[in-house]
Amino acid sequence: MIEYDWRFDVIWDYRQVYLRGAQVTIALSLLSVVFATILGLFVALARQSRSRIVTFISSVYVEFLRNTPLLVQIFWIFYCLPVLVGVSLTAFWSAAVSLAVHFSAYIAEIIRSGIASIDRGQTDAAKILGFTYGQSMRRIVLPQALRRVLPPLVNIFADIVKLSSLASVIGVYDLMHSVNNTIMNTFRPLELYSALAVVYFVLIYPVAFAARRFELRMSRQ
Amino acid sequence: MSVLSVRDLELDFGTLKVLRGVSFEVERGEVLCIIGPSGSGKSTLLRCVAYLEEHFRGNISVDGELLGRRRVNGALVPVSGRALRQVQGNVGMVFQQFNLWPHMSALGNVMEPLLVVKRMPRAEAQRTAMEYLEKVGVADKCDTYPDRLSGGQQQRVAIARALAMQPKLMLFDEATSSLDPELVTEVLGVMRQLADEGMTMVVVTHEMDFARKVADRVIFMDNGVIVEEGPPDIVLCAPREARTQSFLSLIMHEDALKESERGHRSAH
Repeated sequence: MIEYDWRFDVIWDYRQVYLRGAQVTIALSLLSVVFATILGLFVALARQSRSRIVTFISSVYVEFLRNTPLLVQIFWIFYCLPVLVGVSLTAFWSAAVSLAVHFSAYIAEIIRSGIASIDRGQTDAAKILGFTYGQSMRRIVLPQALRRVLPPLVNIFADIVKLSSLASVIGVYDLMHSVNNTIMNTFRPLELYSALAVVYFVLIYPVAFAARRFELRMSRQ
Repeated sequence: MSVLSVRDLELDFGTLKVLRGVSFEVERGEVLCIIGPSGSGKSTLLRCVAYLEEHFRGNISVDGELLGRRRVNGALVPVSGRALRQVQGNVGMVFQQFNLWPHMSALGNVMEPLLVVKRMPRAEAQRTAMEYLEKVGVADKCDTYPDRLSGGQQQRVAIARALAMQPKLMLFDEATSSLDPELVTEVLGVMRQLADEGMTMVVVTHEMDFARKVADRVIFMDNGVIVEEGPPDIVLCAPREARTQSFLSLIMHEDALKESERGHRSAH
């Protein structure tokens, strides 16, 4: 072990940096979770569509997003999208859109597997009782399917919080970026990065814990 | 006028011909039982009448209206959406696997279509649903979820759910086949009561006793065609066709086996 003069008081001095960074990380993650889930739901439904074109487009969407790095997607949406469509987003919104789009592909696959696991008799019964496709999805299939896929879904939410740290590369002042900046000024990477890891853990562990609880409750049923 | 009219019904699953030209009518208040070996197409026939199988040839009319088809210049073209559901709405169906919705209580299962499809106010839907649960004798279980109900109770809730929509025609697809023997009677009892009240019913069943006592007419199907059709005393007791005879003797043999098993069990 090298001799190192630990100065944990620096962490306390910069607590505001952590607090504000955590706020941005939480806001970014929450937005991404909400939009990724909504988007994922529509993509999941599109993948079951009767129209071949719709299923083809949605499967290309899923495959493309799952087989390219998130970092590349973040850069692409931040730098290339504005040039192509003429709308420029702030770094924060670029990151939110990237995370939402990227994870919508994973969420779509999870929801699709949930829908596929619902017995055909469930929708047969709804159909003969006069439900439309939409009514039977909303009232019969999705409530059961979503309950079934809650554990893997919540695990994805934990991944979203983790990977939101990549937003720092385009200058979003999230936890990662704020702490990085502070280290440039203080030259105290050991204390500040260690504290950073702990703060992320405090944010993410409850989510992972919830996922595990859901899983337990499922397996008991 | 007949409540159900099926004409030249044909259906293929790939290269397999499941139905090869089936025609029959069901009059108002009539109870028609369909019997036959598994794979004979009788369940598929019911699924066509419920429009759960859409790609049939020939035509099906419920209460005088074409099901899932429209006549345009003499040719039949498929319809969907509201026009389909209007005709389909006259048909109620009870499945072998009950198909109750597990995320709703017994009451919730019966209320749901009233709320969603009939757009009844909640209070009225609840009143109506309770009425039908009472009718089938499971009102005391109204707050229970399907996984806590016996098979017989589940099936009776499923019957209540179908009846609450006031269908003109009820289809029973082997409604008692997945029930424990001691629960079969309670479901058959409800079905018999319905028949006595004048409900028009098409019943696919292996319960020969029920067919003998309740059916006005019996159809024996094999290999996608109607082999024999007539009153139960004739078809079940003195069939003309060799295929019907061999099927019935097989069933009788199985029933006798089951009976002796039951005897053994109770002897212990």
